[in-house]
Formats: sequence, C-alpha cells, structure tokens
Amino acid sequence: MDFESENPFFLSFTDVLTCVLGGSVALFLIFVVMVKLAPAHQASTSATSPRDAVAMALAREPADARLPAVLQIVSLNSGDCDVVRSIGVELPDVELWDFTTRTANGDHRCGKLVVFKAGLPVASTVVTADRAPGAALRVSLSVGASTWSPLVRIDPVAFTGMKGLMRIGSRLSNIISFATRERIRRAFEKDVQR
Amino acid sequence: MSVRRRRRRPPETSLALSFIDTISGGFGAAFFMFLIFASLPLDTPTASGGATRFMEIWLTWTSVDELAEITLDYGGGRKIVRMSAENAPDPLTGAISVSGAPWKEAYSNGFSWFGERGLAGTQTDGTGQYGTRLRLAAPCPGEWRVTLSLHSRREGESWFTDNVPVEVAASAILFDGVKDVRYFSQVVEIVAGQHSPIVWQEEGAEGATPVIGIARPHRSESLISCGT
Repeated sequence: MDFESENPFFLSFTDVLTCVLGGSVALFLIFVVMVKLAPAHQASTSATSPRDAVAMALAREPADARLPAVLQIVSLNSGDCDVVRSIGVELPDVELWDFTTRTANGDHRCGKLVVFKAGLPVASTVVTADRAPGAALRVSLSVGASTWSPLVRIDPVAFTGMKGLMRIGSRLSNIISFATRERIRRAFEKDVQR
Repeated sequence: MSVRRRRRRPPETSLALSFIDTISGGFGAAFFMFLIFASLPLDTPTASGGATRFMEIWLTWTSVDELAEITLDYGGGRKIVRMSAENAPDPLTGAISVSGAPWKEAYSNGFSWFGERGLAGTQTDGTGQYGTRLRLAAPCPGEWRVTLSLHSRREGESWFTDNVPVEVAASAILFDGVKDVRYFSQVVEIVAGQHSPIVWQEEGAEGATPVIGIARPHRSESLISCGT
C-alpha cells in the first residue's frame, strides 16, 4: 500500500461504526434523560391536553369499580343563578350540591357540583336545566387526578334540541358533548344524510 | 522517450467510506434516533404530570349557621390551612394554588377566605345538608393528618348565646393508581372555634388511625415537587 497517497479523510468501516455508536449514546442521553426531566418542572403545562388527560385517567380506572368523578358548573354571570340552581342529572348515585363562590372584589358566582359517586355513567346522560344560561359557563370535570375546565357558551337552540346543557358519559371518544352550535351542525348533517 | 508517470491510487475496497459518507450516515442515524426517542412514551405527561393518584376529603354537617374547614398536616411538619387569602380557590374552577404544596393540583369547594357558605345539598330524607370538599391530585407519599375546624357564620347574636355543638362527619377516598381505599370517621361533635383531629376508620379494616398513609406510586411518576 502506498501510504503517501492515502487520503487522510478516508475512514475505515470500524471508525464509522464507532462514530455511529458514540452518536447513539449521546442522543440516548439527550432524549431520555433530558426529556424525562423536563415535564417534572412544568407538570401542568405538558403537551397532553387536560381533556386527553381526563380521558386517560378514565381509561386507567378500575373497570369493575369506577371512582367518584366531579362535575362543577359555574356561571360567569350572577344573573344565571336560577339556571345553575336548576341543574340536574337523572341518575342514581349522583349527589347535587349548590354553592356560591366569592371573588376577591366581592362579586359572587353561582355554581353546581355534581358528584358521580359511582363514576361517570356508562350510557351518555343529559345534564338538564330549566333554560339555557345567558352567559358562558366554566365547566370543570375531575376524573382521577386530572381536571379539564373548558369555558362553554350554551346555544339556546342546541339546548332545546339536546333538552339540556350537555351530555356526559364514560365513552372515551366523547366524554362530554355540550349544547353548542357545533352540535347543531353535526345533528343537521346527520339529518341531511338520512 | 517520454516516461509516463502513472499515479498510483490507493486500493479501494467495497467497505471504504468517504468523509462525506460518514457525515451523511451520522445525520441519518441522528435523525433516526430522534424519531425513536421523540415518539416513545417515555414519560406520559398529563395535566397532573402522569399521575392518576388522588385523595378527596369531604366534611358534611347539618347546621346552616356553621362552616367546617379542612386543615392538612403533611409529614408531621407542614401545616396547610385553607383559611388564608393566599390559599383562596379560583372562584370559577375551585383550583387552589399553594406555593410548594405537597401535591400537583388541588380543587376545593365550599370554603374560602372570601366567605363561601359551604356546599348546600339535600339528604335523602329531604333535610338540608352542608359540605366542603378538597381533592388533591398526586399527593406526595407520606403521612397525612386532617384536622376539622368549625367556624360560626352567626355574627352579633352568637356573642350572646352559647355555641351549640354541631355534628360533622368526615370521609375520604384515596386512589393509589391501582386500587381505592375509603375512609370514614365517627361523627364529631364540635362547637365553633374548636379544632378536632380526625380519627379515620378504613373501610373493611379494623382499628382506627389518625393518619392517612400514602405509599409511593406504583407507576413511574415524578416526585420532584415532593422533594424526593
């Protein structure tokens, strides 16, 4: 072999294997150690949405004994107190509690706590009320260690069609469906298809 | 006669790679590794950091004039009192934000610094019932003690009358990610201004205990907020 003409940039197959192995170890350390540490500092702003976290918590519950789930509904307008007070769920093993929260500046907000003592119902169940609220509702659903708190504006027409504020059940693909315009559109599309 | 000088090339083998090949291969391997490790469910992040564990504590009583408060004592050294402006729950969600708390999230109803009047419900016999609840997501492992305090909402008139004892019942549920354990307490008779540590009876077990013991989680779960 002529050593003078050997290209110094040429690497042997062994060099390449060593290089790739070293790179793999470095990447392993980066993506395993650092990625695992990162969520611990910002647990509540993780990539999984709170809605997915609730579904995940529901999926992880014991199938034979569902755990108490809590649905909290608070109106953003104190003028809707009569609507919130009228909220009901036609199910056994459900506790209903009324409450009034106070803000730091003295305003009050009316709320209803629905405790599903045996977990969310298997069949989708309507959460009823006397009429559609005028203001938006803050709805918080706690299942296991996860809570999802969407802000919802109930549509009066959808409320009439659904005969309630929302439907709630333990079907993972659709735990809550609210009486909103989106639902009207879906229902309308179904009617057209028929 | 000209002498043609032939340049000798190094012998090539099928396994020899150029520098460019190596760089290209390295980038390919790096991208491949990125796809593998970025898509693996190494640590399932959820709103509560991957935990399903929770503890929920309820106090219930029947007097409209009083309000019961839950005070937590964690690990024998950390006392968390809810009656403070710093621990006031969000009026719309009930979320409590306590600095350095030994849990990941907490939700409460029926009691706050700003004058909530308790949860109002109806018993099966139609009489009124009042309550307050506290739900802790991913509570830290250790021993938890719960103290019941009773506050009177009567104002002027209570100064001139004797406090009437109020019966308060406590219950708790603890889910460790695999199984749930229910706790109950004997009904406690307490007057406004008093504090009473709750003695728990575990459902299906004998004996009473002043603490709710939380074991380390079964699943891989970050406990950095617990100092471990």
